[in-house]
Amino acid sequence: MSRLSTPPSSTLVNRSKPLVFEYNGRRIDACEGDTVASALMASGVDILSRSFKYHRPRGHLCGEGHCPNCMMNVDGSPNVRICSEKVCNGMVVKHQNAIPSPEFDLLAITQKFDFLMPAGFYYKIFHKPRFMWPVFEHFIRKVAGLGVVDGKTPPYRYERQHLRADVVVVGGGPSGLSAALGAAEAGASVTLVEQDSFLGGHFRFQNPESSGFKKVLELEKQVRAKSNIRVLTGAVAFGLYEGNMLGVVQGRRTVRIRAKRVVVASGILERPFVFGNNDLPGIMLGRAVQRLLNLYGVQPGKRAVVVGSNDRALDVAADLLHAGVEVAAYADQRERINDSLESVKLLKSKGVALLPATTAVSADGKMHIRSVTLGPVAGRGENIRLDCDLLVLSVGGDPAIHLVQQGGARGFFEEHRVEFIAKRLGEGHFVAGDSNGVHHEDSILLDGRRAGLAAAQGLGSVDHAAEIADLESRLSANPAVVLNPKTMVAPDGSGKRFVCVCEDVTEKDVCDAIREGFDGIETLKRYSTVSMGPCQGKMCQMSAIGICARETNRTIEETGSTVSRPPFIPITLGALTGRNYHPHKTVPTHSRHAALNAKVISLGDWLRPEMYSNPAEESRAVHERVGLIDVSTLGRIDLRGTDVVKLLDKVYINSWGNLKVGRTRYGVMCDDTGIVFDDGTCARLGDQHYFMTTTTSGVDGVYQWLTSWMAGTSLDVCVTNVTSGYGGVNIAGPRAKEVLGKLTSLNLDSKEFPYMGCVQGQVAGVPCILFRIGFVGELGYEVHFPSFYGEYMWDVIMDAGKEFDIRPFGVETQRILRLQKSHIIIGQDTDAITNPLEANLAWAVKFDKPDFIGRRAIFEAKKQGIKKSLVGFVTRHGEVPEEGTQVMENGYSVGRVTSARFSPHLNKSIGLAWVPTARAKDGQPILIRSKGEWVIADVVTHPFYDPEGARMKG
Amino acid sequence: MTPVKRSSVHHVQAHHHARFVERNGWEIATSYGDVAAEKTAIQNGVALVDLGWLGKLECKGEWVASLESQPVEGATFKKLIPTHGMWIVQPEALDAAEKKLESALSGKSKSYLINSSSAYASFDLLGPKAADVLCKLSSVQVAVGAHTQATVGGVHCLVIRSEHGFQFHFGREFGECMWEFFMDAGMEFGIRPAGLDALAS
Ligand code: FES
Repeated sequence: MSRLSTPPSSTLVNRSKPLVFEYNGRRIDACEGDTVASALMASGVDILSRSFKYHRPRGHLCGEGHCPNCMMNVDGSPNVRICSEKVCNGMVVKHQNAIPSPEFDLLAITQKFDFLMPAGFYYKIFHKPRFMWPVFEHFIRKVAGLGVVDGKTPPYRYERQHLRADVVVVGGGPSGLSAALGAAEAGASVTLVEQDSFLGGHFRFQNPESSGFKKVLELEKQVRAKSNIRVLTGAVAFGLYEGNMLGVVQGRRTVRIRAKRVVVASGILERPFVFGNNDLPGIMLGRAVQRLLNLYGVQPGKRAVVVGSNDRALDVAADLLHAGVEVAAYADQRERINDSLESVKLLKSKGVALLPATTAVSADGKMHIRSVTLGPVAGRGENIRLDCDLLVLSVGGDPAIHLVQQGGARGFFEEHRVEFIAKRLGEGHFVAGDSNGVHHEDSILLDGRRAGLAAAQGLGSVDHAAEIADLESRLSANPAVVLNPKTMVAPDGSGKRFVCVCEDVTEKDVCDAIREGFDGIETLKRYSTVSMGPCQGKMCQMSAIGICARETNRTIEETGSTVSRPPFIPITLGALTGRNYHPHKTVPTHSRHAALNAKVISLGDWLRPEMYSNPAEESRAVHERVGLIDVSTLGRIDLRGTDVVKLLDKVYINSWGNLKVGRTRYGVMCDDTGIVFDDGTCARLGDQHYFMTTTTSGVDGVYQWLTSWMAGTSLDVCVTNVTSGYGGVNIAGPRAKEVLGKLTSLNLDSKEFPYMGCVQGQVAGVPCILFRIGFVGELGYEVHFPSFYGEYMWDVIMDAGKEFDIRPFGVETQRILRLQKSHIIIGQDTDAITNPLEANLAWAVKFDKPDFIGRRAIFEAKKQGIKKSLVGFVTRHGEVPEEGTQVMENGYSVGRVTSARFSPHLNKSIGLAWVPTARAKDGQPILIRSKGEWVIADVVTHPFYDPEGARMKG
Repeated sequence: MTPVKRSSVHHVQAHHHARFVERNGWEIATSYGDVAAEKTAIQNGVALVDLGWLGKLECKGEWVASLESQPVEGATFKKLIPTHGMWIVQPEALDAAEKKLESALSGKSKSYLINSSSAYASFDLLGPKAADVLCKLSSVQVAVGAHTQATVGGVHCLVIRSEHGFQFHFGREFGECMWEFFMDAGMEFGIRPAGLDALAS
């Protein structure tokens, strides 16, 4: 194998642009436009892989990305079919499933033990003795199989794309191009999906002097000029789903196309046929040969024998002659070869022996084909043996109707054409060209146009019924071309006769399975694994059906075929999932935290500063001077209307009727089973205007909760989630009032603006809502301002606080400070079965108001008595137990730790834990099992710091 | 210091060497250093424009049905559902628009007006390649001149389509990551951020 000295004009390869890549540690020269396979073959590499089971050498076979023979590991991705993979500079390609190399594979020893691997061997052998199964399993897994994911290659990035089109045409061959053009001319928006990197299908890799080649070049030009045709090359439609949704994979991108109509013009899947040693390297399908010659300028052999069953095979033989390959013989399975064809004249003029009614019987060679034995199709008569290094099989193929079958169509076997044709198509589905059983060169184009127009019918204003009828009559006037031979199996011949090259299933295996009773095509498939390999039967299904029909004395129609399901080609899980977007949220002061080198962590989608320096320093600032924390992530809900109090009384366990304007109240929400699910504050800003805060992660749930309880009522409440609209900070510490006082003319005196008060006013010229609340246990002002002032507000407050040595503090310090005050965090200190009575929130439950959500359940819980309580604890020896660890008693778990931290200010390790109510008394010892150690702690039932709250009430 | 309004992606724009001017109390990016290239992207490729400074007035309740026919200078109305709509207002017209709508509101029961200008981030994705970028982030389908609500890059958005591209309004907290998503998805089409100067010329 080598490069042709003069590349054909149809080549895709630019020889003036050299590329280099690595194959099994060896440098391989390639050119721009080469596939990995064409470059390897041009460099003389002809054994591309070892087979699945017997580790037989395998070479280039289909050249179209279907068969398993050329699967390799490319840049860390296993199972890449290198016949369709373009070379990139520096790519690293490795073989798979062979030790040490495909050329010399130690695992080929398995061929000697083929008697251990009859059909369905995994049901019969290696199970006994039972203790040996792990050994066998390990060996079988090592020997059989495909590539492996190395786990070291960094994950690839996958993408997803959503497209819509009036008409999607699958297949950019001659009929697909005609269909796309027809539909586009009828006014439809068209997306054309083509598996190859080029358009034109099999016409494109015919001899550049052929009429087909010229026609598709012209068609391509017209298609590219149409603004309403979107062309996706290198894209495979792998599934046709409900509502005409097509799944398409294009490299590492999954494209979902919603189409009104779908035209399948995906041609035929060329297949090999069954004869002795039909898997030897050097045996190739006709299209693979034409691609190598006419697209990549690679000569696949020096002396060829061509076995065909149609006129396309004659074209392949002629192409070989044009490329300087000696053709030793042309055998045709038909009785008669049409003398009038140009290709036949050429073959004759070059003295090529033309052998009608002849087929391949067996091939010989060890690592590559060395000779082929040809014999009569009928099986009687003399065989001839010819030396060759290339055997070309061009014996037809199966119409690729998989997609329409997924869309509900059925394949009907047409006896005279020996192929399955799709009928009873799903709504809006059309088939054209080769995949519609139309194989005549002109008819392919006519049928494409017919399908394109029919698909666009009714989408635009113009009616194309007349042209469609005309095309149909012209189609019926053209002669019907038959590509396929009557049988896909040679009459006899020595050597292994492979039906399924993916799974190494031979004709004998299939026959044995049938004799064992698996004579239905579906059970035969599952038992023998025929058509269960990576190509999913594209290479072998017809042969298997033929053998099954022959062995069971049924017709092909009676034997039937298996059902095609998505995906049409193997696709990676990465491509299937595409890119999943996990949007994060940033606070309005985000840039300031980054500038202060804060350690930013992700909490419930928000990026929040965890700490700026260390908790000891930060908490000291809050206790002794003043600290500033961003609280923008708090949920905020704006409530307006005449019935707000009714709604609040319904959703909170507390009472709201007596809340005065300018006051704030802590509120707790329970669900209808009395379980606490959110808390926060709610302030009365005006007569009919309230401002609720929720937990950071709970706001969406609370908003939905409020609106769902309002639905169907006549309550006059406007509920708006205004979380995004506000930024917020908490200025906390004994000097907080002085800092804030520098920025506002509001009266901050405790009488005017007391603890749990709220006020609206200007701070540094910005309209704000201010609350005096003390989550962290010191005098504190929570200031909420329009988000777009975030950076400005942070800057002015930090500036005003400079003289008091203000410090920003993060979430970690806040956690310690709130724990010192025994302030609970819903969802952390409570769980999915916590009622407010257990969580020390009994004071908030107002049974005296008419009704609230959860009332009945909480009432029942009260009647039954509280068995567990949330209490504070101090560990005796300073250990900080892990959150979630168990509180133990007499060897049983009786509770758990929900929060625990070391408090630098108290110089103690403190926490909150659930304990049996009997233990919920000051000084009661509890035993905690943490990280395998026993931790003794004492119960504390009041806040650890400033239990009277004098500091925050200030 | 005087208060200055900044969009959710101000710091990202600064990172892209944006030049800012102050207009209507906002710091607005006028360009990213190469107005001609930004213009070319808008005309022939795709460009991302921050419109965080647009005013938004949300109307809720029974009066929404009557608002479509209400002319408000410098503002366009987008009805989201029968009882919820949004006015998108040029910043210089915001105060007047708010006043006008407030007076239209008076006396109407169960009807509310909320100025949510600070709650939304807004982007324009402009240029002939805008649809190609968007289809990588969303399956949204919207006709020219129409609007819809959809998920783009996992974020709930109001999507408005014009003949030049798409406009997105979404929660302000997603500004930074949406910027990243658009710039990343648009990389293969040569996306670039564009400022007001490129839009104006
Ligand atoms: S040849 Fe691929 S599954 Fe049989």
